[in-house]
Amino acid sequence: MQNEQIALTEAIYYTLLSLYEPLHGYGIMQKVEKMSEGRVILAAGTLYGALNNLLKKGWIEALPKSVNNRKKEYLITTQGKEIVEMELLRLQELIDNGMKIVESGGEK
Amino acid sequence: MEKKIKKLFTVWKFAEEEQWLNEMAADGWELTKVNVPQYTFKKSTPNEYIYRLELLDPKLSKKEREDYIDFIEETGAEKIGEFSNWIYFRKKSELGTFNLFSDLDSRIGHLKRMFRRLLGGFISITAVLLFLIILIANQSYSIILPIITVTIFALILCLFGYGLTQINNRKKVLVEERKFRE
Repeated sequence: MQNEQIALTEAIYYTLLSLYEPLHGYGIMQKVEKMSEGRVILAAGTLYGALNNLLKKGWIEALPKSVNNRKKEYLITTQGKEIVEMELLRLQELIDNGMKIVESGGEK
Repeated sequence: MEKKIKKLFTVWKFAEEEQWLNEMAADGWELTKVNVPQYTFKKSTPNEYIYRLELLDPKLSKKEREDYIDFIEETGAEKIGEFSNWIYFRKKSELGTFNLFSDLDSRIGHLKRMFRRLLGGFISITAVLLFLIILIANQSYSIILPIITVTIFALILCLFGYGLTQINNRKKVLVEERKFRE
């Protein structure tokens, strides 16, 4: 991976977060919608593209299909978790700086 | 009750086609079969389904294509037809909103596929026409035939040029927005 600090898209960020437990495509859509209280509704086509890109990057893995589970399930990898942790630090910085300026009301 | 409507939409009118199908559904006409240019509708309760169209990447293998359609269907939608690489999906409206794309990147990608498709069609037609022009110019002593062929060629050039511009303009609006948001 390059050193350049990356900002994840909302679709990628929420997809990674939802995959701390194994889920299939529709499960991810429902979980993200619930987590964001209905604000983020991932469309199936967009999610499909996101999942394929995440698989290619090795940030998630596809679980082998089992007998009682026909739908393909995915799970975040260790590398994926590192990415999420880095993103959290970046988001925290954004929030901290935003709060500092907004709360001071731009005085001085 | 069933009714069949013949209607032709060009590639760049895909949004209008989608809108038309949803308006028909609002009037209680559910699309049940697509056999371009013929659409078969069945009378039912208004707004039972939401319709969405997608042009798939022609480079997808048969397996990748099936994998994608399965994935969409697992989210509660169903495929009701296809025309070359265009897939017609619908989903019961009681299951909530139905969109295929939820960010600018995937919508820009979709428009790029349409642009490439139209360009590909244009190049093939141009190749055939150029071949015909050369053939006619070599064999015919009449001046009328070459003029007709060249005129047809010019008209097709205008039509495709118009279509490509239409798609490109829609794409440009999204790319411009992408500078500020996802």
